[in-house]
Amino acid sequence: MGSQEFGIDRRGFLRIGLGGIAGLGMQNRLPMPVPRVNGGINLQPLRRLDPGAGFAPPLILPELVDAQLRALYELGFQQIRVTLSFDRFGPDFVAAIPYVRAARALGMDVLGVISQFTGYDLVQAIADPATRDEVLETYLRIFGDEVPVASPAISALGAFALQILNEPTHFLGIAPDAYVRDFLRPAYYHLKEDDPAITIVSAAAIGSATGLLQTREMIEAGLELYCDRVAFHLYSTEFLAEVAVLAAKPVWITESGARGAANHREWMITEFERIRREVPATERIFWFDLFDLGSEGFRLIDLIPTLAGFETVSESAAALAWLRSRVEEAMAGAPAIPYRELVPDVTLYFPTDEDFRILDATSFGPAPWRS
Amino acid sequence: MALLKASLLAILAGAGSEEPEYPLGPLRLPPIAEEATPFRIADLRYAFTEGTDDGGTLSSFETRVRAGGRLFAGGEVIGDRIGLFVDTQRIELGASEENGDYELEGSFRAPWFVLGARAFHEEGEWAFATSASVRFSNDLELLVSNSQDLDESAFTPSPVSDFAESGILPPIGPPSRELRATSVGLLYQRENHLEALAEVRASRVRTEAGFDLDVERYRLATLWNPERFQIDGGLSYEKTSGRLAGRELTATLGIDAEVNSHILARASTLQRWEPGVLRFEEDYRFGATFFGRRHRFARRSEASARVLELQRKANALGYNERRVYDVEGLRRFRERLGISPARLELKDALDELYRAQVRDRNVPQLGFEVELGENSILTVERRGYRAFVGFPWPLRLPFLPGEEAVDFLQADFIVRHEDHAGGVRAVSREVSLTAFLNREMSLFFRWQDPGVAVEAVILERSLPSRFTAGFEYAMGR
Repeated sequence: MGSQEFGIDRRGFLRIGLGGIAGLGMQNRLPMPVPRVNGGINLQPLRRLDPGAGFAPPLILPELVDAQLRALYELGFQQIRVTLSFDRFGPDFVAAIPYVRAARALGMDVLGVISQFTGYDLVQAIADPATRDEVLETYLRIFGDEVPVASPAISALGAFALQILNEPTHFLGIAPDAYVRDFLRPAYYHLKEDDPAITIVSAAAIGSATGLLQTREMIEAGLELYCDRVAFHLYSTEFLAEVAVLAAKPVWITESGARGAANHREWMITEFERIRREVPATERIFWFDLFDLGSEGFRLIDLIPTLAGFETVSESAAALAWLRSRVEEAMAGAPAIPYRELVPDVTLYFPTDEDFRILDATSFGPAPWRS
Repeated sequence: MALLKASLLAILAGAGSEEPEYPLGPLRLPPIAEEATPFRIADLRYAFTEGTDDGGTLSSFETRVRAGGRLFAGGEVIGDRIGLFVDTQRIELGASEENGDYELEGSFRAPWFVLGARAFHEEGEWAFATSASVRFSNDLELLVSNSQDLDESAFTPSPVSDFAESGILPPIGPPSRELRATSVGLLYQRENHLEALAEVRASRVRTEAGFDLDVERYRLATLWNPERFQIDGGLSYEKTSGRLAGRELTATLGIDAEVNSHILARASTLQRWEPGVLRFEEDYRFGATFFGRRHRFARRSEASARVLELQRKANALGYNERRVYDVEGLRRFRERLGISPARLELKDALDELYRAQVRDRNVPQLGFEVELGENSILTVERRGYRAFVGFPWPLRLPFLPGEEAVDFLQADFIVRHEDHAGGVRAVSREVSLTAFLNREMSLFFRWQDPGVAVEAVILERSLPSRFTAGFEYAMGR
């Protein structure tokens, strides 16, 4: 299934659809923020699209952040899951700041993943009692602090939750029981000590049969003693019955999706519903993902660099149409407050001097790239 | 002291003459059935280890003496553990203590059944295990066991407020453990060449997380040894009920085959999988060994024929013995009958069994084994390589045969690689050297480098190399 089925080209679809929201004011009702009705989605906290850019300025392209946030807002997502890559509090860590703050300001709940794209720096820092408290506390100070809502029309600031690592056995070789004992448990105590109200989500194992067996070992080792929500990754519905009996606590499916744009819509409608039905403890499902650098995979949109910034184009027309239809239905004809009105300048959510002061004061900074 | 000295001199000098020749000279026939006046050393073991897991040292000492005609008594000190034990042909008793924890064990061997019991006292709670075998014939036994852990407490993690007050990370819960278990099995031995076991086991497991699982296991195992090869295999089906409901199958198969009279090849595999879900563990091993003397399968040797004959005779006398084939098992078998009331009646048969064991000895001189394995739950691929070289006595090159050979020097080399997800490779190494001074006495040295395991990379911890040296004397081995 492709965008041709809907009689529009894929580049045009998103613009048309989102423009439709702004044009819904014909019934003379008060403008309202786009309602959060479309569940969760994974977001990559990209700072630039050119992987070889290194520390060359600008470190974070505001247009790139803006483009992704705008799509999230206009597509009505309720929650985002974003990796807060430790990176010794380096550029990738800092790049997540505007995504988290702006999304929360727009009323979206944020699940931040304490993780690192490559390397063992983070797990070593958590395992080491000398740095553990400092690292986890810094995560909370940078990302957990309150930010003002983008507009009085946004009913509430999005909540912030933390997930401790991502597929630790698959990516890092950490045994399932060692994950619970040496990483989840200490992180849980330290984070709850600093913020008793924060929701701690366990790491999900890889979304496969192997992951199912790894999750069993994690749960046997006491995973649920040290988290508020149990996470799974489901890229297949083959083992839903097994998943359903595994967790006693509420379940968040922190990654789920189907490869190939032609399969996205069907997965969102049919398989998400099936997951909710067959795993009744499911509270949230996060589609994987909004945008990544792989075409013909899981992403819903593509981002094309232009002279003015980035053009957001539809990669998965049918899925986007379905998401849009749910937004329109929830708005019931009311006009939408445009994204630009809520976020006139995305750099307002960028790292501040206070952020850098906090990071510089850690044992990992100051770093030369910040100056 | 004088008695001890006399015993040691007798050990070293040899009290009789029995071929073959060892580095310390010919070895006397062990006085298995003869009364000790008042005692005779049966075991003497000492080992010293530097580089235990906590970086310390460990000494272990064990001795066992035969007292009079009907009794073995002994003791052991292993680090902080102190143990004492007394054995007769019918009754075996033991007790040990380590840092306030106790273990008591005992068994009674009747003409048609054996009853055994163990009690553990750990951290203020008791656990009990009992076992029994009922002998229907020389070839068939019913095996029953039961265990019960009286500590049924469930782990509750400390509240965050405790951590906030103390700043000390609360301890983890106890590892998953069996609260109770019961098993029933049948063991069938057909002469020496076939053995089969069928067993059913049910247990309740208290997980580390604090909830319980019910586990049922059904197991079949067999070993078949025709003339030139031996096959061993097993199949186990485990069904878990409760939160972690699942099924698991484990299959093992091994084949030993005589390539010629001096070379034995072995291949084996282990497979574990959850039906309908995933095969999550596989292990393959293969290797070959060159023997200086003509190779004999333990179950196809002259000694095995004597075991068969002696077991039937012993059981007719009401001593209730199972046929065994390994060196240590055969030693215990001979010792038990050697302190029985009928020891003088059985003396010739016991001595002939020992002589047959000596005549049937295998003398491995060169060999290798390769291990290839994978566990997808732990995302680890394993490779292991073991090689050994043995210099026999009388000294000759390891690739030369000779029927008069006995074990003398053996060096083992082991290297294992574990490749984990994330690109971490853990490499461990082990080198050992064993000097067999004769059939009963040996010295050994072992160096182990645990390498850098994946946890060590992540946790930035390193385990120390471990060096162990020891001496062992085992009369009548």
